[in-house]
Amino acid sequence: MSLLALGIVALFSLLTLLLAARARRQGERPLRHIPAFHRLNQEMALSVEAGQQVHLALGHGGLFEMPGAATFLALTMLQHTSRLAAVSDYPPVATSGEAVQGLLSQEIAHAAARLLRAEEQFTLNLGQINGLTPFSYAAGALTLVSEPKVAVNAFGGSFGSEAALLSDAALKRGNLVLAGSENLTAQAVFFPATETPLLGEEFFAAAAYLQGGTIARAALLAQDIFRWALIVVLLGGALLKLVGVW
Amino acid sequence: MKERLSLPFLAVIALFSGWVVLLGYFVDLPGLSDLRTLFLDWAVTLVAVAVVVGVIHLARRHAQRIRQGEEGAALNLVTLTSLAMSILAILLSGGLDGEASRWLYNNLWLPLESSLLAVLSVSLIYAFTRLFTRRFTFFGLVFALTTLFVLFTTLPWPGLEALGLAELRAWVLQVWAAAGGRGLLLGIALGALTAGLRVLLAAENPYSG
Repeated sequence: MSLLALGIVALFSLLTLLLAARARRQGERPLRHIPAFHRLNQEMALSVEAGQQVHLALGHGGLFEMPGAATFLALTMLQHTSRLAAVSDYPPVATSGEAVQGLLSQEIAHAAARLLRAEEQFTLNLGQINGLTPFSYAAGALTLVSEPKVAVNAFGGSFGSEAALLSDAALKRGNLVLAGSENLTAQAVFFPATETPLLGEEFFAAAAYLQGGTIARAALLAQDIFRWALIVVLLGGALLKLVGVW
Repeated sequence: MKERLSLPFLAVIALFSGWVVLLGYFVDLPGLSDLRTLFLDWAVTLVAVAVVVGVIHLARRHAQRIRQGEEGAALNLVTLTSLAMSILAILLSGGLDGEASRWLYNNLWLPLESSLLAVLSVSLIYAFTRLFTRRFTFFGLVFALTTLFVLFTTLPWPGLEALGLAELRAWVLQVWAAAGGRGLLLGIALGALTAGLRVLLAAENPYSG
């Protein structure tokens, strides 16, 4: 069973690399429109022009298991945001509910400031650790969500039902532009809260949409191919069971 | 400059550790499994150290806000005092199972979290009503009607069984909701696999800034 799983991972990696090689030869295919990512870029540009701040809530996922993947995606989003908006009067600020994630967000903010030769703008407060349990994190991050200098609130990472407290505060300010998570409860909370919710695996497309890159786009295509293969297997299995073959 | 030179070296360590942990998960080779366990032990230790650093960072931030007299500094003082009280209680009562620690947990932490849960329920209802005013789509309507139906049939109404509503509720939850949830989870699992592989293929390095 574990060898089969390893085979699937190997096949996925191989397919990604093949699709990346093909994209380098033949050019990249356009991606379908996901409004949340488009809106994030747009609002971020406006906030930089207006000299206001972008707040990215990274949740409390940590680095292990499924929430770990969401954390990596959230950090990739932060990397993108920090590089684009680091020259603003107020560089982007990230809030975390997990210590390692918080330390990594500080490192990302510092690296963006170094890259843009704006190190004097960097402080450790650009990567805040607001609490180490879901509710204490939400309570700690609430003050930042409601701050007048924050023009854009984006939530990406691992959240639970406590996300409702944060999204409610952001909605009152009218500046919630993106909300995505790997957690189904959080997705259900975000669905009525935002006009552009990220459902299912859409949040995991963030790297391809925000940073681009051949591998990221090829991995997204490989993901689509695997999804269709899974659908065929599931429907085929159901059909075989229905006719009594399996 | 020194830092830039060390970055590729750090990336190689991170990638090597990642591949060892991934392969060790699938293939049961004695050396590989031992190395995987060792790396995971180190990771757990580092995470524990990071938690201590996180708590220090949190305390520093609150102290800074008090020093600068920022708005809500009184709340920062309450947080710092609570932190100091908790550490003292745990140290003096001989660990997390001590009497003082349990008292703090039962009489402060639990009521506070419960009150946040109460606020959360209000927030959720508020978010639900926004569904009708902000973004009324077909899927929004399906979401709203399903939520209302499940909530309504959860209550112990008389005659619920006779009308067949309890069975209908079970059918909605066990067939449609479970199928939808599993579909989303499959997509999320594929997304997580993609995210992990991109990091392991060095296409992304969110860990190094």
